Amino acid sequence: MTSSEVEVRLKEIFAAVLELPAGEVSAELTPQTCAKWDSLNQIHLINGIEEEFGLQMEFQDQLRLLSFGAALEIVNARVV
Amino acid sequence: MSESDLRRLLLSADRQVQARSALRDLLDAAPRTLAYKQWLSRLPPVDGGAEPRAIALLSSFTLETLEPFLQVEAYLSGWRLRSTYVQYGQWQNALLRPATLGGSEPAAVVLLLHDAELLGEDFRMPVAAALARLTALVKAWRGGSAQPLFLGIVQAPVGRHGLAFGDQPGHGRAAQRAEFMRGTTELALGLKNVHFLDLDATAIGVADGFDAADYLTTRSVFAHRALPGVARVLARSLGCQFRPRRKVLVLDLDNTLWGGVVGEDGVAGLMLGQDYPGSAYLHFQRMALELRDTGILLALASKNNEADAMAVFEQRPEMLLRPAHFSAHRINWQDKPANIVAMARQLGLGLDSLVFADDSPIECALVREALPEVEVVELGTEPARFVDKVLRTQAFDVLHISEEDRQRADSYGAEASRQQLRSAVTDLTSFLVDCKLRLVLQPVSASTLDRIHQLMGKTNQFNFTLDRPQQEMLQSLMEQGNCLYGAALTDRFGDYGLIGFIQLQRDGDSLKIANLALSCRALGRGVEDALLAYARDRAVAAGCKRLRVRAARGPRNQQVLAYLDNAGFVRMGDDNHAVEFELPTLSACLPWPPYVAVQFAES
Repeated sequence: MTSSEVEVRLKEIFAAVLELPAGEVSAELTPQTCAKWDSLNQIHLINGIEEEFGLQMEFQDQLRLLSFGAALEIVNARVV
Repeated sequence: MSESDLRRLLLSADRQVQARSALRDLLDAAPRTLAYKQWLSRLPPVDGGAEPRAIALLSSFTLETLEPFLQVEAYLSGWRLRSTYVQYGQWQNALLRPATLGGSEPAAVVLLLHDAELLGEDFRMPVAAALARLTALVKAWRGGSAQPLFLGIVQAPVGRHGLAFGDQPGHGRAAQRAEFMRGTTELALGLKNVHFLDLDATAIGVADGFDAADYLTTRSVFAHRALPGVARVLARSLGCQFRPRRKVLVLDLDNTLWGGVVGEDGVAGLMLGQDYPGSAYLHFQRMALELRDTGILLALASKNNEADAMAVFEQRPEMLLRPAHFSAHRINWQDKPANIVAMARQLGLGLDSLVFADDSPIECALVREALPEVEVVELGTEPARFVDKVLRTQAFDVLHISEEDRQRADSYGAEASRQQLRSAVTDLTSFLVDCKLRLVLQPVSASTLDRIHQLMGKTNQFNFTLDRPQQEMLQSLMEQGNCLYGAALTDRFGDYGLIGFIQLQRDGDSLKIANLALSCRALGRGVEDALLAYARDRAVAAGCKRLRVRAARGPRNQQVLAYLDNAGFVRMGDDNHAVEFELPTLSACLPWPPYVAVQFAES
C-alpha cells in the first residue's frame, strides 16, 4: 500500500467516525479542534484503523493517536 | 446493489423492508466499524417513522462502544432507539434505585454482566452465592420497576482459558461457568418479564469474542470484532416487543422444497433424502415445520401444474411437509404477486404479515417490486444456506410462544372449511347463521392476561388505539378494577380462541371505549358489532348520556374509522394522530348481531 492510499483510507475512517466531510480531515485535526473526537470515538478510531488496515496497534501508538498527522505516521510505519 | 441505490432506498418510506434487507446483506459481508459508522449517518431520520424507544443499558464493563452498532442494528430490526448507558460501576445501584436511570421511563432495560464480576476474577466465589446475589438484585429491581429486563451473561475473560486454570469440561472453571449460566437462565425463565440474552459465540457469530487488549485498555469484555454480533442479538431480542411478528411463510416448490424441477426431472428425479443436496432441502422443510409449530402459517406459491406438484407430496415418502400443513396454496401459471395477494386475502392477513422465499432471482424481483410490504428472501443456489437466509430476516423472531401460537396453524384449517361454506352460500347473513357463532364475554383475569397482551401487541387492522402496552400495565389496569373484557369465539367449525378485547371507562356523563382490539381472523363475524352493542348496553345501565371513542390513525386500521362512521358515530375532532368520535344518542343504534349467540361469563 502506498502512503497516498493510506491517507485516502485513513481520511475515510476519520470522516466516518468523527462525522466530518473527508475534505475537512487534515493533518492538524486533533481532539482539541474537533468536538466529536471524544474518548469513545478515540476507541472507534483505533478499532477502525485496526480493522481496515488489518493490524493491531501497540498501546504506545494508541496513546500517541492525538492528531490525524500522528495517525498517518503510525499507519505508514506499519503498512507502507 | 450499488451504494447510491442503497442510499436512495434507505430514504424511500415505502421501500423500508427492502432497504433493511439490502443493508443487512452489505454489512454482513464486512461487519466493521467503518461500515457501521458510515451507514449510521445515512439511515432515515428517526422522526420520519416511529418514536424511538428509550432503552437503559446497565453493564459490569464498558458498553458505550456498542452504540453505533446498536443504532444500526435496531434499524435493521425495524425499530429505533434512544439509549442511556449507566456507568459500569453503577449497575447494582441502578437496579436498587430505578429512579437513577434518568428522566423518562425506559421501554426496556438491558443488564449485561461478565461472569467474573460475580464469580470473582479468580473464580473464588461459590456459584450458589453469586447466583443468590444476582437473584436478590434482579428481584429487588423487579419489585420497583415494571419494564422488561433483558439479562445477558458474558463469559469473560474467556481468553484466559486452558488446562492451567482447570478449564477442562466437567471440572474447575468450565463447570463453574456452566453452572452459573444454567442458574442465570433459570432465574430469567422464572421471573415474569425477564428475558435471557444468548451471547455465546454461536449467537454473536464470532469465535473468540474476547480480546485481552480490549479488556485491559478499555474494560470492554467484547472485542471490537464482536460488537456487530452483540448489537444484533440485543436489537433482535428487544425488537420483538416493538414490532409485530410476520405470520406467514410463502414458499416456492422447485429448487426450494426439493432439488430439481418436477415438470422436467419427474417425481422420481427430484433430490430429497439423506445425501447432499437432498438433505439440505429436508433441513429446510424441517425449519418450515418448526416455524409452523410456533404459529407461523405456511403457504405455497409455485409455477407448476398442480397435479405434478401434488404427485411429489403423494409419491415421495421423504417429504416432511404434507399438503395439510399449508394454510393456502396457489400452484398455477399466473404471476406470483397476484397469487400472493389472493392468498393474503384468503387468510385475512395484510401483505406486511408475509415472508416470501423463492430460489429464483426473477420471481423475487417481481414480488419485491409489486409488493414492497412483503419480506422477500432470495434463497439462491446453495440449499444448505436456505434456513439461515429465512431466519436472518428476523421476521419470525419471538420471545415467548403461547398455546394460542402453537394451535394457530391448525385453526386456519378450520378457516378453510369456513371458506368452502362461504363460497357455497351466496349471501353473507345466511353464511353467518350457518356458522352457528357463539361469543363468550368475560372479564380479563390472570389466566387470560397473557393472551390479551399478545392480542394488543399483534392486532393491526381492527385496533382502536394501536397501543402496545406492557403486560404489567394491563395487569395494573385489571387490578385497579377497570372494566376489561375479553371475547372468545367458537363456531361449528372450530374454536377461534380469545380474539377480542374491550376496555370501558366512565368519564363524566360519557362512557368511553378506552380500547378495543379484534383479531383479523374474527373480523366480519359480528364480534365487532357485539362488542359495540355491549358497550352501549353498559352505558345505558350506568346512566351515561353518550358513548365516546378515540380511534388512532394507523397505516392499517383505516377500517376502524369507516366502521365507526357507519355505526352512527359522529366525528368531533381530528388531530392527524387520532379521531375523536361520539355517539350522540344511545337508543336505536348499535344493535346486537342476530347471528351471534352471546354469553356472559363471570371471572
